[in-house]
Amino acid sequence: MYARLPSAASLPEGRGAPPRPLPFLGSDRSALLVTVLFLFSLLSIPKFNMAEVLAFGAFPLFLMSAAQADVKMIVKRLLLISPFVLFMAAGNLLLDRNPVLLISGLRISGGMISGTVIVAKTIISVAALLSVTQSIPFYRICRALEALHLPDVLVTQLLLLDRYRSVLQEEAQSMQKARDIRSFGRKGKGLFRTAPLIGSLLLRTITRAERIYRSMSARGFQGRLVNRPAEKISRSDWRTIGLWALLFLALRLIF
Amino acid sequence: MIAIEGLCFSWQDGTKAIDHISLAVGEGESVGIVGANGAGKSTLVNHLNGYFLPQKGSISIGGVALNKKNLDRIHRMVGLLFQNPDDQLFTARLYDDVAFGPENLGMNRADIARVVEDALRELNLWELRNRAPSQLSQGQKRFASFAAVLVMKPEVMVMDEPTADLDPKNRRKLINLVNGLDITRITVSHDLDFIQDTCQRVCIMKQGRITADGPTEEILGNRELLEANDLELPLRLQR
Amino acid sequence: MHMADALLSPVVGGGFWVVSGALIGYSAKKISEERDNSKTALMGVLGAFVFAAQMINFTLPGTGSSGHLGGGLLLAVLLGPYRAFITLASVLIIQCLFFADGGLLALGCNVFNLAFFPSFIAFPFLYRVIAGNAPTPGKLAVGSLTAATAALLMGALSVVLETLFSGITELPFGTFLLFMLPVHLAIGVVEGLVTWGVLAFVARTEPGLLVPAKAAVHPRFTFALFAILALFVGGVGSWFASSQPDGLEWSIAKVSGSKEFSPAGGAVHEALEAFQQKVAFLPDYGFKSAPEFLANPESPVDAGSSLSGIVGSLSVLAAAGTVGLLLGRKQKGEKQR
Repeated sequence: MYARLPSAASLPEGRGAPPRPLPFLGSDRSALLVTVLFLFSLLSIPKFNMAEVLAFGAFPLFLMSAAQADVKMIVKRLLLISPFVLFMAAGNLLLDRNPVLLISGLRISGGMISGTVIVAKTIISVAALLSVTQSIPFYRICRALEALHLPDVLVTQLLLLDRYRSVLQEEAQSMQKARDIRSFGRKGKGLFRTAPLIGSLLLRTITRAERIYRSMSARGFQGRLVNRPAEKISRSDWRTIGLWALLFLALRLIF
Repeated sequence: MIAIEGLCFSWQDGTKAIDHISLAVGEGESVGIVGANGAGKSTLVNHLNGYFLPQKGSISIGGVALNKKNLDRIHRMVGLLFQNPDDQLFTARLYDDVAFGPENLGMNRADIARVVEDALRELNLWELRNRAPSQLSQGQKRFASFAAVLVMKPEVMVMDEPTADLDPKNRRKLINLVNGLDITRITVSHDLDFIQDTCQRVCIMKQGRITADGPTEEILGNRELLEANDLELPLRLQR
Repeated sequence: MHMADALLSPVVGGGFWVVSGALIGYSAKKISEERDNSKTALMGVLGAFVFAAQMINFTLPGTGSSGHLGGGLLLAVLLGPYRAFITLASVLIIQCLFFADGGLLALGCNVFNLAFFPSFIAFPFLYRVIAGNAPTPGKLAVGSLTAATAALLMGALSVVLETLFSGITELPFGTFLLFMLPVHLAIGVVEGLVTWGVLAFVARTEPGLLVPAKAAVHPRFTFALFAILALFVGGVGSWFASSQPDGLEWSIAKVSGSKEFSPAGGAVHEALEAFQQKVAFLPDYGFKSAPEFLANPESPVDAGSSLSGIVGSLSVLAAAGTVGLLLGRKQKGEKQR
């Protein structure tokens, strides 16, 4: 019925290499649940217990090396650590100056420890989360969320948002560029000059939405983007989650 | 196959977009619709898949009258290829996008898997089935949106500016693909050379009316006619 | 303003997950009941719009620093409370999962702080009331400014309370609030101005698009909301009367000239501490350390085991990294065969 075309591999290569599988975390759903358990355990560590926090760093370290995650990207994200977190850590540093440790003449205050623990917990939680989410394609994360009973409306919303995020960001970049090449110094980039630009982007967005809706209804859209039922949680999923829970508990108890 | 009688359509502010159009297209025919910007071409083809309903006059496709009640049947019969593939591919994964239509048609899972694989393999997109549409190149997206529409086995294929954004090589591939289709085709395009290569018949639209309708070679070879309708000869005929 | 996981206790994080989850479920239900698929695509692209619009920077009048649109109030005006809430929640989820902007366990808090206030409080009870259905330019400005500022301030207060409830920070309530509120007031004013600018532009060019979205929130929901907020504020008041004498004592001293505060809070504090100890994995040493060195048995930091603990954790880290690398190599090898 169709003319023979050369292989898709000969067409200009699209972006994105296939993600690596995550070892020992089971299905996508159990991977997400294990991550949540990990974070709960990490957050329950008392605020002066640096050793235990460090030990929990094992989990993201293991994930990053075994899944060969994009470490550069994760480190870049870590360097952009929220100023709010740093502010809170600094707050503890300044407010709790009661010395509690003496290490070769150096006085370590409670605030230093709790401040460092805050930063360490942030680094470890971010590294763990990103290692997992970078290793599972987004459509599978959404399937897993659906299987975890997230409402259909929200799952559809996530899929559409992710789909059009890059499209709209390109449009915004191009519009901003068009503004910038006709701006000089600070003239042209003020709030009241830029609001109409954002307004134009908004109008284009709304028109695009109409076209997309047309496309969806032309193919019979009834409210869900994917109509296949999600898989039920399996025994091996429960086993995987249980084992990791025991491991986290053990780490908490040992340290 | 398609019968349009006395069709009229105006925008909310009163501007006439379609002004008494009558057009008959036989089964298996391929018709090109050309005209200057604002002539009403896109408005006309958006009637064919039921996005707009006739304000005056009537449209029937495959004997089915176009009205609110029959929209589902019309959607099954008419495939519309959007000008911008980004408007057409709206899921997170190419496979899911192609499966979307068959799923909504109520096909069973085995059949869906089969038709989706067939469509993707025919268009040499099977290896890309797990990619997100945003990870595809423009050419790949164009063929992907074709797959997404053709998988529903429509009886009529409507294409709105199918070669916009395509490089010459991909454009040639698209011409081959379209010529290999054995269904009724309506193509709206500014690319007169593409129309010449893929359509047997051409209609010229101007200000909401059809001003000329005839065999492609006759219409697209007539400089005076084209210029009177704010068009030019196809590039290959301009030497 | 995104909360990070490290600043929250599991109880607070989990608690807000439940609250935000309930709000999401409720909103999803209300949306499904409308049976209007035409808004689905609009919600999706407007969520994408928020990301895109946040990339467009502008300079602030008079300061030279740059800002960008947040988008909460704007979405509420365009979509109505339920759809705006879901859209904003989806933006926060993507920010969390892809960019670690806000922690996963903090997601409940972030959805509450950044999506709930603009959608369910600022929009229906401030913007709608001031601007109405077909606002004049003046009412549009006042409505946008008031609602945006209020939403930001409520969000800031919420952040302060969540952090303090978690017991991780040493900042006293008063100081923390004194820092957060002015900053978020400024952010709120900017947000209000940009929102006004964008809405005014749309009103000029495509007035039909600003068709009033359903602003009505179900009356039972509103009642439940205010009841919960009232209990929350009351509970917080009594909690802080006992455990944070600095901020409140200071405020009381300023207002009444007296330094006294209600002693009744002491029992509440003890009860909450006991509850927290039961719920936490292991007893949490939340109080400040004693001002002595190494040998102090009351110090929450046990120096002796701390050092050996650190050595132990470093060993665990090394082991995990090595195992991971070996596994990764093995998988790569298998793939190449």
